[in-house]
Amino acid sequence: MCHAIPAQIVAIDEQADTATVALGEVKKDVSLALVQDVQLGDYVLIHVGYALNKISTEEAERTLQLFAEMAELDVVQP
Amino acid sequence: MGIEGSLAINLEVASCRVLRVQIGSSRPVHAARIFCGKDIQEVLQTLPVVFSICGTAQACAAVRACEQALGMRPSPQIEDQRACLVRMENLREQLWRILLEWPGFLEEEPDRQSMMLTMALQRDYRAELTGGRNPFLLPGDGHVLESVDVQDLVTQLSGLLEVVVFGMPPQRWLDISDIEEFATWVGSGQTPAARTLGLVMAQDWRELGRCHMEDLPALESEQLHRLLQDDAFVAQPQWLGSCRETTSCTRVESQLLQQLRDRYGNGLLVRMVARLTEIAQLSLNLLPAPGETGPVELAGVQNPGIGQVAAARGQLVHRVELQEGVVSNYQILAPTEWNFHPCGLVATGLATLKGDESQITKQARLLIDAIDPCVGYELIIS
Repeated sequence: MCHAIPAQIVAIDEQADTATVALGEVKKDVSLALVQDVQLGDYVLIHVGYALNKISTEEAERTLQLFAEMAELDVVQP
Repeated sequence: MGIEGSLAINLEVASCRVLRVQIGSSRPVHAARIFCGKDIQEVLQTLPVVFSICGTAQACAAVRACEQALGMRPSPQIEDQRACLVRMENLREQLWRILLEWPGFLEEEPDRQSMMLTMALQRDYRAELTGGRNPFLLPGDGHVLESVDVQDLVTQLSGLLEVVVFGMPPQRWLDISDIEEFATWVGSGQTPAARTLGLVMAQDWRELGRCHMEDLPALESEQLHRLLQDDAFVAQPQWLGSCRETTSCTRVESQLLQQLRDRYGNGLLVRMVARLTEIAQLSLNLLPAPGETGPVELAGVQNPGIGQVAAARGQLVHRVELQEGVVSNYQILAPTEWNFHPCGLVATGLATLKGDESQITKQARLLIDAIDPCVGYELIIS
């Protein structure tokens, strides 16, 4: 709940101002309209189809680790 | 399904009426359990990163709960900084709906440029107000600058609102005090916001979703301690055996809103005007005023501690239990669980919709977006 998920940019469509982001094995397209200066390999927080802001690799990894703990605790419902 | 969860909203429609509403949630409502066993400062630093939608409100509720559990008292300046930052975040969240979602109902393009500008102003405002320090850590870790000048940023934001939302200065819009004057503003169609309200009025959707739903009252800590230990309550909360509403609509007041409520109840028009009213009011309350915050009341150590914040979508509650500086129990009760309860505000409002499938779909989206879940949702008409 109330989460924006870190995901890594794996492709950018400059014309459409969108990116393909990867979260584990899942890939999805998001709008880059609300962020500036993002590049391939950057991590961004994504929420309802938008990249919200860029975060460091360390911060993304720490956050993803916490989400992994959530999954282990079974608080994420199937 | 994503880690963040989602809502599945099913409407069973026949003979142009909604026969049944089902709301299912895969939101990880017990996610705060990941903080058990962690050091309190680590939790305060990581919590707003994990709960990053309304991360400022989440951080504020967390630090308030921890301070209560430790018997600590923040300075009025720090508490004022926190209140300012929560107000700015609430404003951003309310603007998100108006800039990015309302144009869709007009088949216009979302105003992403203005949203990006708002987010940049929010970042600059926080940096200027705090000097880059984090006021949502425990007292002593916060930092109060001797001189803070956010006036220019607040003026820029006000100017943006004038151009893209109100078509006039926010204060002047707040001065609209009767329905006739309001209708004139809507009729001017100056901004997408005015045109969206024009659509609602032209379609006679003013009372869309009007229903009886009592407001969530102020909850005392003693009651919350008892209730929050029940997992079922955290997932699907009710108060005194019935569902309650906690939204901007339950906390915003104005002369215009009162007249609209008297005429149209808690339907769609009132919800949308409440959002606009809150944006205008928040924009006028972004300058720090520590003297007005008043002393923070604290009656010694109260472990477990409770922290409450009026977040963008309604009342947010955190409860933390500490043992020697380590979290042993943590619960978060978010407003979406009240408003999107299977028998709650949204379900009750959706059950009143009438029209063919296409009309009901559009009405449902307007109503759901007006009440605003903080996750994505799937609307299924069957």
